[in-house]
Amino acid sequence: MKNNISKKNRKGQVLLITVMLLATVITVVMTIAFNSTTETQVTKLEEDSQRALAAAEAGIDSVIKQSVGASVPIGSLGNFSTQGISGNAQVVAVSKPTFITPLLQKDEQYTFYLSDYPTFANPFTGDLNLYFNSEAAQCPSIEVLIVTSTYSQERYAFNTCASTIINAPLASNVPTQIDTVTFQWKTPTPITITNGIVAFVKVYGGKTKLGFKDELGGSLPSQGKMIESEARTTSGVVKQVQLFQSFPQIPSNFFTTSF
Amino acid sequence: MFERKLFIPLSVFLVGIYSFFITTPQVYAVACGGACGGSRICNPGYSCDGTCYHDYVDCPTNCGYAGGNKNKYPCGTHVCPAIPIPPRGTCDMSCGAPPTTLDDGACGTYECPGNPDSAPPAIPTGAVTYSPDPTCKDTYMATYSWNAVADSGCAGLNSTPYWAQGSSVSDFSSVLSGWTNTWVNSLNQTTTTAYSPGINLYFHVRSRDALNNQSAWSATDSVVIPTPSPYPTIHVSGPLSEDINGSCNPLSLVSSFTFNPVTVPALGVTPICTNPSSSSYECDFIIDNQKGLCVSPNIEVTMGGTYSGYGTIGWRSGAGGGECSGYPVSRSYAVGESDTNIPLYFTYNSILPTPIPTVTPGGPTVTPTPTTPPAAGWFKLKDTSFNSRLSARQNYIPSNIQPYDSSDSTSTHNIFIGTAGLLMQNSQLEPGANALDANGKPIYSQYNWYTDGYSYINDVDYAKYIDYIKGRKTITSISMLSEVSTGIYSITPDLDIVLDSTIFDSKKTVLVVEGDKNVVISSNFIPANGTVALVAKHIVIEPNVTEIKAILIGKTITTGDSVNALKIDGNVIDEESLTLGRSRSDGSRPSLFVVFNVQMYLDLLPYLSTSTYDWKQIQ
Repeated sequence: MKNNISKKNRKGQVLLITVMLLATVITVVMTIAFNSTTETQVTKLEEDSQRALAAAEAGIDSVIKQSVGASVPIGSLGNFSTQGISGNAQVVAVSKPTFITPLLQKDEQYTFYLSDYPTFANPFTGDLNLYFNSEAAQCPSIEVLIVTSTYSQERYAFNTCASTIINAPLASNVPTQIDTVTFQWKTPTPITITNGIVAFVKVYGGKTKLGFKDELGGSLPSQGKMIESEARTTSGVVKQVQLFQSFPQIPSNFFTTSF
Repeated sequence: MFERKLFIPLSVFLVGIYSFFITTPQVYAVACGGACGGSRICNPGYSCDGTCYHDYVDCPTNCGYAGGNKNKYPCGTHVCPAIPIPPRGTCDMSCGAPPTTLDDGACGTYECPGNPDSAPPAIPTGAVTYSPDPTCKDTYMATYSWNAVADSGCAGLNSTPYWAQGSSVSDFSSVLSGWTNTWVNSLNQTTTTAYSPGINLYFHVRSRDALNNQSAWSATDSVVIPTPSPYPTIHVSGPLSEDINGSCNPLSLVSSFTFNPVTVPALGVTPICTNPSSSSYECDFIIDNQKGLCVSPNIEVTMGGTYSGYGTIGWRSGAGGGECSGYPVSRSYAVGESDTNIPLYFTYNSILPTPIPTVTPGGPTVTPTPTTPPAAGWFKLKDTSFNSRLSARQNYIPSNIQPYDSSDSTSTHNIFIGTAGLLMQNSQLEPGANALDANGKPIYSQYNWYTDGYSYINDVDYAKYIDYIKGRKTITSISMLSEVSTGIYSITPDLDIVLDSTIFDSKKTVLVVEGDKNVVISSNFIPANGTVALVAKHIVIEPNVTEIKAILIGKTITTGDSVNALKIDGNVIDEESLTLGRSRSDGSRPSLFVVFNVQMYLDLLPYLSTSTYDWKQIQ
């Protein structure tokens, strides 16, 4: 009797241990399997993301030499279609009441278009405010050349905190924020322009961004091409990139008579 | 008692008196000359020979006396009769001989009276006069004169009877330099030195006779050297004339002119030169004869001055006051002269001919030296900003300017005309005196914007641009220039290439010439209806080229040495400092005229440009 009972107890223990072991193994296996699936999914997303970004950039490349209004389906580029990537790259015109240039180094100049490029149609007539001295500890002076549709010229020059340009008038020290940039100085009065087609603004003495603003708040002519490219993968990854390419800029060194 | 004592002596006395008169015979004393004898005896010292006589003289019997014994002489003073005995020698009775004692050979000595003269002549009376030094009319020579005097003695005047002294000190402790300070036989003496105004001179004189009997000094005569009347001023004036390569026209000064006349002699001559108007000058030469500087009343003047942009400034030879074709001269003037029409020639930006001949009126004819070399050329820029790469570049603008062509303006003397921009410079571009303001500051352009000490940083240069267009632009490589069309074309020649403007007709081209070979513009470069920017390392413009219509961008650009003017319509960008070899014959016009053509830049915008990029990832 005692032996039967003992055998039965012993079998129960083995079963219990076996169940526990199986549970442990199953747990381990399940955990490993889950992690592997997650990693696979993340990797795929990263791949899709990179693929989308590359596709978006490819879209930009595809239209960078095209004019405003041009559009290219991303899927038509290379083998992106086989990868199920969709989206468009398009060239759009940007026309805003203000415009801020990239940071111009000392002695660089910016070609600011007062009319449509490249036709020079719709010349600007109005009062243009010019803002400068966007960087701390800089005292830039500027020289402005306005060219009209008849190729007549008007020149202006302004100093800020340093009289780099002898005999140039002092600009107005009126800190003004345009978009996210704060400019410390501006033209004392707006520059009155009649049928202006282009303005060349050269920076002397220090680096600065330039801000342009129509006195009356009207939109300024487009200063370049804005290429917007969006690529979407089948997995739903979306990448959007923007590239602003300015219209042609004449280097100051090729513009100023020099010898 | 008493009576007895007195009685005895008194008796004795009375007895004695009685005895004397009763017992002694009577004797009478007889004076000299009185009768004597018996009781009449002569007074002592006299002898009686009937009468009393004097007998005590014993006259000598020699030494000139008659001798003898006692002589009876009546009463009174006895004088022995003398017999003179001549001396052995002869008494010196000449004038001035002193009394002497001579031996007479007999009884001793003989006293010669002599003929002494110790009286000096009279004291002369002096007087001083002065007269200008013939060789230095602003100093004076003094002459001291005195009268002749006679000797009051027997000697008469000495052969050198006068001694005069001249001194600058009243006590005559020193005498004037060169003065004959001894006995002379003259009645005046003149100083050997001329004396300056204000100096005191003192004189006195004395005389002497032949025996050197000297008179006292005369009273001191003095004189103060006078200040001469000032010399009259020398006046020279005339118009100003500008000589540009041998062509002279009136010059109008716009800034102060610095006179620099040189006079010979220089000491004591004060030139005072002014510009009574912007087109004339006048000089007064004041010769100082008040200080005893011995300044000649005749001076030689070489006129000169400094006026930025001009070489020789001075007078010239020729008829009248000098001619444009004359050569530099100096002029001689005497005090009081006035020359009122002597042009002062400003030779524009030239080098002096050497040597400079000097012409003296009436002097020998001087052979003219070669003409002045031509003036250096100058440049003018229109409608542009300018980066002056050459340190302290001289670009002198003449006064009389003429336009380069109808697009030029001569309303100012500015280097930069039209819509001129900023002049960037590290050291000042020198425009010359005709382009200065009243404060001597340069006026370069209408707004006159310029930098000073500015260090320019190139944002893009020739090499960077080539790299840029290769990376971002569509560039067409060609092997022959004839392949050029609108766009950016690049060629790498094995040899220098010569450009023909016709290949650019009706095209808008940026031609990039790579490599070190020269791009040569050998003839006028005017593409018809075409716009060209030439980008090359070395651009050579040959001397005969007078017009280029293009934007020239090079590491070096040479214009060639020539008298031909050169106009560049477009722009010139030379990374280094272009040396202007052009010097046109007509120096009143620019030798280089650069017109900034903004339309050409706009035509070439797609090619001669870069772009900026701003990339953003939105999502």
